[in-house]
Parts: sequence; structure tokens; C-alpha cells
Amino acid sequence: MGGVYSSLDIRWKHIFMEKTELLQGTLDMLILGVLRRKPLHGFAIAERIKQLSDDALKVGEGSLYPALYRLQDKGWIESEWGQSENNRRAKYYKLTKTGRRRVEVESESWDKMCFAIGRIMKSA
Amino acid sequence: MQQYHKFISSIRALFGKRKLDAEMDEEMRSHVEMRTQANINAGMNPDEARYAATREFGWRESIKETCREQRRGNWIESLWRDLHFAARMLCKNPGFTLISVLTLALGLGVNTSMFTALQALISRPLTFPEPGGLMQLFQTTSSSRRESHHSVPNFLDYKTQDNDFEFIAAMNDKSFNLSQAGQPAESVRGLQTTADFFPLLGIQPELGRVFVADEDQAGRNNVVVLDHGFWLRRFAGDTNIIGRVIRLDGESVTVVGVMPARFHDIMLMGPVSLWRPITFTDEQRANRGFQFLKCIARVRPEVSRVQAQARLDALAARMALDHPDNSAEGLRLVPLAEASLPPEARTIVWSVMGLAGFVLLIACANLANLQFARTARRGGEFAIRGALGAPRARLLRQLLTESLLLALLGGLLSLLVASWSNAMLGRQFVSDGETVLSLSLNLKMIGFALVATTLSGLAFGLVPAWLASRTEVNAALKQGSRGTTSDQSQNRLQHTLIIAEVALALTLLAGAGLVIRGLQVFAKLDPGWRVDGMTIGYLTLPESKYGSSAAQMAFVDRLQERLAVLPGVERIAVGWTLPLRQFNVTGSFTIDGRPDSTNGHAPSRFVNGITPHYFETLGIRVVAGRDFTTADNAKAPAVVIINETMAHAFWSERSPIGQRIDGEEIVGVVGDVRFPANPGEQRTPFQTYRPFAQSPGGIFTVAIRGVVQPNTLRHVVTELDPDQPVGSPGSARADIGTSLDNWDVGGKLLGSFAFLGLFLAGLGIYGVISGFVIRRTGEIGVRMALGAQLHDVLWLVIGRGLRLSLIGTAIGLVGAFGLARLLGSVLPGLPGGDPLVVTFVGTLMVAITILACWFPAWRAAKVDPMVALRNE
Repeated sequence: MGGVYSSLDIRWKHIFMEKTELLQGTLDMLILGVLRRKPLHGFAIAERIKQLSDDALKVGEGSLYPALYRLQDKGWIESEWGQSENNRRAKYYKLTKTGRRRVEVESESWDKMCFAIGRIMKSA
Repeated sequence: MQQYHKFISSIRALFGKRKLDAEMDEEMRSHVEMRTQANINAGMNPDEARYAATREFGWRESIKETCREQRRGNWIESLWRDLHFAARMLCKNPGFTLISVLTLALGLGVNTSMFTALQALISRPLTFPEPGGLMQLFQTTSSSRRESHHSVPNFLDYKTQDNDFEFIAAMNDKSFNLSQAGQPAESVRGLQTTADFFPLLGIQPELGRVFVADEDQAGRNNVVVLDHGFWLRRFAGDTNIIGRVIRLDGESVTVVGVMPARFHDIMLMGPVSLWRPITFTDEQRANRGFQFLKCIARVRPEVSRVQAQARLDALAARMALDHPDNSAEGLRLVPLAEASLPPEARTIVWSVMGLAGFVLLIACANLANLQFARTARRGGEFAIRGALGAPRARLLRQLLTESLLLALLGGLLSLLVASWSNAMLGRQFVSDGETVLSLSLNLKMIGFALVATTLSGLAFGLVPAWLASRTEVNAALKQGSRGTTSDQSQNRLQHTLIIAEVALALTLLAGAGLVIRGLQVFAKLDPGWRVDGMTIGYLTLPESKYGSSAAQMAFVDRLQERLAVLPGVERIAVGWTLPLRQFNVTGSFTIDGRPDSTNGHAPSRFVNGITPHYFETLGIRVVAGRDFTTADNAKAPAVVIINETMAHAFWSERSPIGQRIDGEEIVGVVGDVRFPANPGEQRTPFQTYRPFAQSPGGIFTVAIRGVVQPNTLRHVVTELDPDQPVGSPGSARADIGTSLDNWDVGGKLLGSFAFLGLFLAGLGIYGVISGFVIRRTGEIGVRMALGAQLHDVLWLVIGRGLRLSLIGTAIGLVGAFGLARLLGSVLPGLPGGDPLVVTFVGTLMVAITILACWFPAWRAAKVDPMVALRNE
């Protein structure tokens, strides 16, 4: 079991490191997605993505932090310092208004695309 | 709100860099700690947990760098960092920096200066309001590039037929004789203009008024407008000058206005002192062959130049049909800003600019080589930075920033070089004792310097940077700190650059040598007459006083009588012109009784009207027949004397004496004369002379053989007519010198380019050979340990430089040949193809090469084998 995951994980990590526009966009979307519920710090975001994807997706720190800075720069998320669950100072990221709108749009178009791709794959 | 947010964040990014870095650091540290905690919770022991977490996180600095790059405004930050680093690197290597900056400053300075000259000569800023609509009109023919001026009836046609001009005006250069009670008569340059001239250019007078509409009609033109400078000089800036009557050409003329200094556009008008309305005689109004008017126009603001040109084309076509005696076929509008140079002069100016470009190319090649050597030495540094994760683009950018910073420093310094060189150049171009070219620092020039700087920075930075960024990390680290990118391809590139430098420098040098040597040879050529020991003076008798041939002849006779009896005078003669620049009058001719002799195309000849003893006075050989005598007067049959070339061309071995051309009997043959003040092309090799008495004129030159003070001539003329001045009296030799000086400027300019190029090429060879010695220190040590002698080592190094230089010289000679052909087409009068020049130039190049290689060679020979081997 572990072997399968680790190979997947390597592949994903590899793909995320590549600066392909599409995949960068996908990682951004995932981050925005997990931030929808509540503000999180960097470690929690990575954990959350891993957890929600049943360990299928693992975000390396080398991709995560640049993505966070990129999203901040675009004005979709903002950050402030706070206390973590075990009383450590941590930087929390939360969606801005535009970020929230963005995530709705992204999620909708993602659904459409999945649906379309699914139909094609099934028909083939 | 969001905009505000972004703005704040980019400002923070710029200024709060340190704080942001600290925040990033803390955030990542806290991430690692959380991971450690998670690992501990999963059952690892604390050390293991921390190690695993740190390892998993990866190289924190690299991630931070990537994060920084995500931010906009980041480029300013990284540019700042690159600049900072570049400045530090340049300071660390002051020798390299100094040489590079100086090289660039010279190369760029020369080009910026040439650009300013080019701009001043070809497209200069005008001081007139709305200069865009100002045009000069030229007549053109399809057969030649020459642009000519206009006849009176043509000008009147342009003016009266329908056109797109708001104003159109004509002007004509003229010397006026100005006389005032109590002051010697003075010859002043002026312009005769139509009344529209002033409103066309649109500048108001400083005092008084300009011409009114009908003052360019005959009998009403006794008014004059003064130039600011002339008014200050001659009338001490007297504000009561308006209404004053002065004597011009023996007429009383009223001063009506003074124009401000900025009106005097010297490139358009020449060194004028005053303006007077032009009037046309009935004869001028009828003669379309007499093309002497310069014509300027202001195109209506709503009409484009293309439209105006189209309508002018139609007019020219109509006029060609109506008047077959018109020699011109077309009319061309040229913006006034570009019109001051004739097309062939424009070719010369562009060529000089191109040659200045050679200097910049050499400078860039030099810098590229210096950069190569430096990046090669820094190979280790780049390898380490690459190994630490710096992307290649980042290294490239860093190197380019360094090049551009160097270029910028050089560019700033080049402005100093350029202003200095401009001041020199401006002083060199002199016409009638006045500086005609004012070259000052302006925005366009700074713009040019900036663009040239950037381009050269890219040119000499890009290739070395690219090569350096290609460094193989492993190979570089293995090889140690030195000599990493000095692989074959780079050596080849460096050598190619040196060869190109030498070739360019040699071409320049040979070009300059040919021009300078050509001018020297030209000055020593036997002109066919004796220049030394001759005093000359130019006279212009005003029409108003000496309108008739009889009056002109009488004045010349009296003048000759008076001069002949002066002590020290051996011979005296008068002619329309002296053989200095050219004979002023040319005409076509046919040989009587031999209509076929010229293949249906009438050849052209120079015509000069001379008094008896002209040949004796000048020292021209009479080959056959006789000189003119006083008996060849207006009542006697028309006679002519021809030169040897013409006699050979049309009568070969037979005697032309007694033959006739255009009805005139040939009575003599004289030796050919050259025109020692003009290395340019002469219109025809055929020279003919007619008796002054049979065709007198009001414009002539007096030639005196013997020892006479120039003032004596002036004195004698004033005795004859107190209103009559003498133009530039002095020795014929000095007159030639003044003319040739302007040609010399060109030679000197080329010479200075050449020496600059030579110096830079020498510097380049020195740099490359030094690099070679440093890289081969070990090898040289081994050779010496194995018994190589001092001269073996010297030869090893010098031979290497010499080989490159000889290849470059060979290529450069080909270039020089091309340049010589170009020069030959522009200056056909200049003797060319001197093998002495080529030999000298080649030797000089070799000598410079040896000199440049000597120091590195000497250093190589001084290598202590023990030290060199230990270093390996």
C-alpha cells in the first residue's frame, strides 16, 4: 500500500514543482478550496489537503509557500499572525472577498470539466 | 480596497524587505516545528522527528527565494540587489572597471559626438516657429543626384500657379559693398530676398519692421534689414539705427529693421550681415536657363508634405511641357531641417558616421573579450552559485546587469568626451571666418548616448554571460577555481573578436592614411602655375555704378596701370577667376566645320576671361601660338586660347592654331592647370581662355606677381573708388590653405578615429594575450624547466598575438581597398592607392601588436618554473 502512495506522491510533487500554468492553477485552487471553511496556517493547509484527498495528494513545502505568496499577491488570500492549537505563533491565511468569489467560479468550472472529461472517458 | 492592499504590499515588499524576510523565516520555522511535533506524536524520538521534518521541508533559502519571486514589485527588488552586487564586483576589480569604462567612454563619446554633428548637418532643430511646414524646393533631373536652384520665371510660376504653399520666397547670396564716411569700404555678405521671406519664417524683428509687400519691386527696394550680430559689430547696437541711411553698392539705402540673433540660421542663410529686397530685371524674368534663386516655402498647415509634393509634381510636369528650355525635370520638397547639405555631402557625412561606428564596434569587441576573461576567472563562483540552486536565467541576468552598469558608467563619461569633441569639431568647421556649426549637448544627443550605451552593454555582455551561464557545474568545480570556461569554443570566439578588431582598426587606419596622404600629395602636385609669390584680391563692381562693359573695362585698365607702377610688382593681370577651386564659367562648345567630332553630344569647357600677361603672371606655359595682346579688344575678331589636353583630344598631333570653336579663332595653346584648392571632381578637363576686353565682367580677381602688401591693393582700389572694397586680399598660398583646411578637418577626423581604433585594438590584444599567459603559466613553467630559453617563451607569446594580428591585417587590407574605392568615388581629385600608405599602416599594426604582447610575454618569461609548477 505504502509503495503505491509514495510513487503517486513523488509524481505529484514532481508535477507541482514544474511551473506549468495549469497545474500551478490547480494547486492554487486546492489551497483556496481548503481555506473556504476557516483560516489555516501553512502546515495545516498541507495536512488538510493530504487528509481530504485520502493521502492521494501531498503538497511539498517547496510548492506550498510560493503558492501562498502568489495568492496573497493576487489579493485572493490574506494573512495574519495568530496562536496555533498548541500555543505556537503561526501565520494564518484566510480568503478575501475576491478570493471567495474566485473559489466559487473555480469550483463550478472544475465540476463542469470533471463532468465533461468523465463523459468522454466513459464513452470511449 | 484591493488595489490599496496590493499597493501597500508592494511598498512593504520594497522597503520592509528585512522584516518580511524575518516573517518568512519564522513562518517556515514554525512549520518545521509543527511537523516535528506531528512526527513525535506519530512515535518518533525528538531528534529523529526534527531531522525528518527539516529534511522534508527542503532547502529553506531556496524556497524563500521562490516565494520572493512570486511577488510583483519583486523585479525592482532583485534589480536593486543585482545592481548592488554588480557594483561590489566592479569595485573589487578596479583595473578591469577602469579600462572598460574608459574604452566605452571613448567609443561612445566619439559616436555621440558624430551623431550630434550628423544631426546638426542633416536634420537639425530649427529656431523658427512651426518648423514642420518649412520646406526648401529643389529642381531635379533624372540623370544626376544633383539638386539645383531656380530661374526667376520658374519661381514666379511656382508662386502664381495653384499650389499648397502659405508662403513661397526666393533668396540669393550677394556680396554688398558697404561704405560709410570715415570708415574704409567693406565687403559684407547679404541675402537678397523677396518680401515674403520674413513672414514665411515667422520671426518678428527686434527693432523696426521687415519688408512690406511691394518693396521687392524695382525702384522701391532701397531698404535693408540688419542682422543682430552685424548691428552690434558695425553699429555698436545703436537703438536709433532705424531710419539711418547707409551706402550699399553706391546707393543710399535706409535701415528699416534689425532681426534678433535667433533668426540668423547660418546653415540656411550662410554668414549674412543684412537682408535686402530682391528685384528682377526683365532679362532675368525671361531667362529660364539662369538658375540662381534658392527657394523656400511654408506648406499650409492642413496639407501634408506628400500632398504638397504631389501637386508640385503636377506643376513640374506642366512646366516641362510648356517650357522645353527648362533643364530640370522635376521639383522636390525637402524639409528645411534636412536641406542644408547637398546629396553628395550627405553621403560623406553618413560615411564618417559609419566609420565612427567602427570605433564603437572595436570598443565593444574589446569589452566582450575583457568580460570573457573575467567570467572565465569567475567560473568557480558561477559553478558554486549554480550548485546552490541559482537558475541559469538568474546568473545570466546578474552578468547582464554588470555589463549594463559598466555601459552606463561609460555612457555617462562618454557625454563628457562628446562635449569636448563637439567643442573641437565646432571650432574646425569655419566658413568666411565664422563658425558655422554649433554643436551643443542636447536631449537628442543624450538619448542617442543612452540607446548606444544600452545596445553596446547588451552587445558586449550577452555572449560572455551566455557562455558563463552554460558552465558545467561538475566540471567547473572539479577543475578548481580558475580557467573553467576557457574551452575551445570560447578561445575561438575571443580570437575571432581580436581578428575583427584588428581588421576594423586597419581599415580605419588605411582609410585615414589614404586621405591624409592623398591631401599631402595633392598639395605637392604641380598645379601648372606658380602659386608662391603671388598676391590676389577679389573685386565685385556693383551693377548700379559699373553697369556697362565700357565702365568695367575702364576700371580694370586704370587698376592695372596703377598697380603696375608700384615698387615690388613684377607682373599684373586680371581674370574672371584664378585656377584655385575651379573656373566659374562652363559652357558647351562645338568645333567649327567638324559637327561629327563630338558624337552629337556637346562637350563642356571651362571659360575664363583674362587680360594680356595672365599666363606670364601666373607662370602658365604657352605651348604654341601667342598670348592675347591689347589689340585683341572688343572691335577685333573673337579669339580663344585652349589648353593642351583639349588640343590633344580634338586635334591630336596636328596644330589647332587657326581652327575655330564656336566661331572663335584659336590663337594659342597653353599648359593645363590644376585647381590646388579643390581635391573634388572637376567638371571638365577642357580649359579655354578669352580676352577680358572681348567679354568683360564686374566680378573678377586681380593677380599680382611680386612683393606687395595686401593693404597696398586695398589702398589702390580705394583711391580709384572710395566705395569699392577688395574681398580677402592676401597671398594665393594662404587662400589655398584656407580651402584645404576644411578638407584637412575630414582627414584629421578620420585620423583620430583610426588612432582611437588602433589604441583600442592594441588594448584588446594585450588583454587576450595576458589572459593566455595567465592560463598557461603552468605550461610555460614546464617548458622552462625542460630548458626553454627566454626567447622561446617570448616568441611563444608574441607569436600567438602576431598570428591573430596578421590574419586581422590581411582582412583589414581588403576592407581598406573597399574604403579606398568609396573615397575615390567621393573625392576623385585625390591621388589614391599609395602603396606607401598600405605598407606603413601594416607595419604600424604589427608594431602595435608586438608592443601589446611584449608586457605579457615578458611576464611569462619571468615565470619561476618552481612557483609555476607548485601552483598546478
